[in-house]
Amino acid sequence: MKHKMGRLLTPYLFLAPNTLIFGIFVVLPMVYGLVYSFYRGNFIGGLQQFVGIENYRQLLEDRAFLTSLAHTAVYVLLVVLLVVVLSLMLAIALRATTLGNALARIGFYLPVILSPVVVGVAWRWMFSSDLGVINAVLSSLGQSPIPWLTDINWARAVVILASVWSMAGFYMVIFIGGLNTIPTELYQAAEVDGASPRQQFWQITLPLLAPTTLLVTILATINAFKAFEIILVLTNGGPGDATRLLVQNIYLTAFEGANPTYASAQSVVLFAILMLLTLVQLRVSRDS
Amino acid sequence: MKKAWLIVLFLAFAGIVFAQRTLQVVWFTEAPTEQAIFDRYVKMYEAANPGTKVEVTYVPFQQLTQKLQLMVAGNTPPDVARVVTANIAEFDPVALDLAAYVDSSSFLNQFLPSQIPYIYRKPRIIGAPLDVTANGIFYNKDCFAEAGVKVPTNSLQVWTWEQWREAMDKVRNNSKCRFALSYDFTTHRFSTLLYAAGGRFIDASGKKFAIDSAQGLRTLSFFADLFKDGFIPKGQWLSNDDPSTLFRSGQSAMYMSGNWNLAQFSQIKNFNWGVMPLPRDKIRSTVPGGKFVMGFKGSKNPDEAAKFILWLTSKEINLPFSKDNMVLSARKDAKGMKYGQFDDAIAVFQSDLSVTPSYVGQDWSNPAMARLNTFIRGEIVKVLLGQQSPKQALETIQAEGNKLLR
Repeated sequence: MKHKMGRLLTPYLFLAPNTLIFGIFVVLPMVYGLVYSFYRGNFIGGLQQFVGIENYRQLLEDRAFLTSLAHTAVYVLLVVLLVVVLSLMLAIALRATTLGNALARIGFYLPVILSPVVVGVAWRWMFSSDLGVINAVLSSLGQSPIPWLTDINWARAVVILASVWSMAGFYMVIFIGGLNTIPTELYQAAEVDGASPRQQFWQITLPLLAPTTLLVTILATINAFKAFEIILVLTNGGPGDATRLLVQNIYLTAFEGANPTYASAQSVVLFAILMLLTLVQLRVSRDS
Repeated sequence: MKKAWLIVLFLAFAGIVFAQRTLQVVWFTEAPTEQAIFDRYVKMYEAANPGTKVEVTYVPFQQLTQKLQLMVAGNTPPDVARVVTANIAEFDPVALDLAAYVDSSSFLNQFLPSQIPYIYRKPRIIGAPLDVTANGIFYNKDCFAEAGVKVPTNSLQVWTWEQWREAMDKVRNNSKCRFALSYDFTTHRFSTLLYAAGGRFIDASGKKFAIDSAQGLRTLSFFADLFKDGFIPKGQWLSNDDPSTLFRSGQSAMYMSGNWNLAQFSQIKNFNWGVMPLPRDKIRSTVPGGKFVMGFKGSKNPDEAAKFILWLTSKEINLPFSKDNMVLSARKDAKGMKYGQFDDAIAVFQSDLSVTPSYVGQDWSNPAMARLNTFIRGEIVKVLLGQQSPKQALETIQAEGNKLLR
């Protein structure tokens, strides 16, 4: 009896430390965040008044929040699209195990291990309108400098490119893993049947990579929604609020606006969006 | 017997350890020299107070507010913190009241009148002034000499805004400096022009915003034109480029900032620099501000915190401390203090401060300014981006400000 009980408890004992850490550092702050979102308060006075869904109602009229939400939607769409396409292309190009490919993989993976702050600083050094290397080169060639970070559209493009550059290497590795699970016999058979490389890609590679593509899409979407440090260092959300995304807006509301409860409501909305998108993606994958 | 001695020794040691107080201090730094100087003064305090250990957490200025907000929210406020004007207004409700430790009138009487509105919430004293700051313009003497532009040295004959613009044009076109003016990305520095134009943010009653005025419009239009005409590099206000870097690297002929840069600029070796009196429009004015030390209600050692604050702002300590950091002491008895090689520069800041109207300090000691700082800056940026006219920006700021003051 005692032995059976022990056997039953063992897995839970192994899981306990992780569950405890997860509970304290993830679940508890989430619950706190949710509770805070129904209150009015600040850092100094704490929670002052229960306001029900007032913070959420206010979000619907908050121009800064709605603008950052719209910016985030465009940013996520473009970043995820570019990341998936680029990392898949890299994976296909560098799939074969040769020394050159190994070196190239390392090169493309390097940005992933860099701190986002370092990525932001590096891109800033390159693209700063007044101090950047690229404009210095353009000027030395007699060309007019480009307002990379002071023009709204250029700044958005640079932010998206920097994000894609910093993420693509990671997803390339996942795609290479996925490609390696596709049996080579399928390609050999297709070649015998006279299928062109393009046909092989559309008929074999892409369908069999669907689970990996889904995984990459989900991960890239979640990461893109949480983008913060690179943009903070690169443009600080500017010019104006042209590159201010939801997470930065939450940060500004909480700390510069000293309004943590209203910022909590925004965080809850972000969480709900991410949860919904993930569920939809999983559902689509299951149905297909 | 031997054992007994060991026990006595152990207990004595334990007694010393447990009797020692640890004073938690949060100290923000702006110049690389500041930390070493403060460490030296901390050691002096510890030597004079053997029962106290001072534990200092250094934070960059940009992280100060967030650090204090989180410590206060987590019910673990520091005993003492070095803060700026915006912070002292924000943390007023949790400030340690120094009035319980001093005779209020004789304590306040030690400091310059411009600093009193920030710390005195009758009858409470919520902090002590450490030093006075003044906005001002640093300039690259080599670029001005190369362009043949003479900077006014007599504070009675300062440039008008139009003369200042002409000087910018000449220096940019006739010297190695690529840009005429670097400008800190803050509402506070922008306001230097507003006050020179004779404007103000909040009216004399303190209950209504007054920025939507002819003076406000003149200021914002003039400022926007400086960007449009390429005198100020756009990146400094549109994409967070560091204005100080452009000046320190010798690429910008002027830099609108403040006296707190003196220590940092003493390291510049590649060109000669100086400080010019602020150009006038309707009046001459700078924007006084300051650094303060404050304690917090609910900290572990409030009595020791008050003792440390009073020590740091006392004449014996504050005067040499200010001199070491090359800042203007907030004490009245610091008048005439010499700073060696920076005497000329400091004289210019002091001259600007001496003609500044008192309502400038009242504007910035109003908690509404701390709340609206970022908002105002955002509205100015929209003007620079061409998303709205200066008039629209002023109306929006005025409306938002009045909402807050109500």
